[in-house]
Amino acid sequence: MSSRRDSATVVETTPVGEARYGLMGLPDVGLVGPITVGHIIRFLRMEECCHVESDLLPPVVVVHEGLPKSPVRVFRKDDLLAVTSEIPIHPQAIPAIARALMEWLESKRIQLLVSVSGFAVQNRLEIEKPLVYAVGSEEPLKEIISGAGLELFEEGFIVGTHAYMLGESKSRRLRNILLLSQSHLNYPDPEAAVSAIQALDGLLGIKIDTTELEEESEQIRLMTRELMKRTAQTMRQMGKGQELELPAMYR
Amino acid sequence: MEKEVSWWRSSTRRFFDEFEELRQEIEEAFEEIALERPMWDVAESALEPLVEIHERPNHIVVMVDLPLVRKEDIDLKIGEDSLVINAEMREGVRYRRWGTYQKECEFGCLKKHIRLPVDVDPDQTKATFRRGVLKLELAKRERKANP
Repeated sequence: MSSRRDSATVVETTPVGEARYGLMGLPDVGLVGPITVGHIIRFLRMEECCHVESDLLPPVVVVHEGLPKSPVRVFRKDDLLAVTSEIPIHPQAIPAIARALMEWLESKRIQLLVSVSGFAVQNRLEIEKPLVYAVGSEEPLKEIISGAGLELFEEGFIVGTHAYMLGESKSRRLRNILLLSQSHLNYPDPEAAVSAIQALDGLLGIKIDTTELEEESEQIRLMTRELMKRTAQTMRQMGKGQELELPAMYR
Repeated sequence: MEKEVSWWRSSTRRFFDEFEELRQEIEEAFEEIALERPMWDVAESALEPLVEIHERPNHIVVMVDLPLVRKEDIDLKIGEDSLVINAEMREGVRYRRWGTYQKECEFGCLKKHIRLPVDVDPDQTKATFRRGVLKLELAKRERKANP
């Protein structure tokens, strides 16, 4: 039996009914997830509806407009639920946080969860427009991925929160697509987020103007340095470097 | 004899494991200290940029994220074991409603003092600046042979 000490709960601050799509943007490679989801939340003027509580999270509150808030929060607009975090999720907290979010999203009967992340590439400086790859939790999602004009991520390692979520989605039979935008590893990468947003248009049919994100990309890189620094340390702790390893010859 | 070899092997392995653990602990302690240090200095109106350092067989690669900076505004001072970067931003970054005494402060440059893991030859430095990222390739100083 799990206790509060080793579990997490999604607390609804305003009642949330069923929704069609879930969007996940947690701090990871190049902060692609939080930058993407943060822009969508602002553009669609999504409203905060829930937050995550867990003793596994560090004792941190974020003060916005004079009010303390949990750093891991959920926003809603119409049929879309978006999860984002202002702190990196420590490796030990990943299973509980991921499980709580998946359970909650499942209870909202979402039809598709799209997680957004970056995938570090060594030659990022030479890439004008980052490509977006995708991997789904089950076979039929391959068709949706190719239908959206996205490249399938065929072979390789995925480490961290999204790895856990893909596994959890598979066992719950909750349809989950992970978007991996080519990105810097340890620098915030708003250009990779622009590519991810364009990929989301193909997948979910949501039109998001990226002009503001492109115009403010340099300010975003400056404003997210501290989060990137903390996230980089967390990624090292979880062995994120394995994503850069070549796949084994045999299987 | 075989027993002695296996004892020696396991003792050596234990020593290296303990050494590796100690090395990791020291590394983590330094990371903790670096994490808790603020990445800004109100007195100097300076922000600290993100830096990555990679060691290659013959050189050190230092990459510095310098958004809002023009190439001509980067001032570099390269020494044998350290380098100092001072880059003016083409527009200031203003923070409003943030914290307490830092309310309404503006930062106009990016500054960083980097201690290099090995000695380098400052005269053999290759620098490129692309998409707001400065990349420096610093040649390792060759060790002088013992007389």
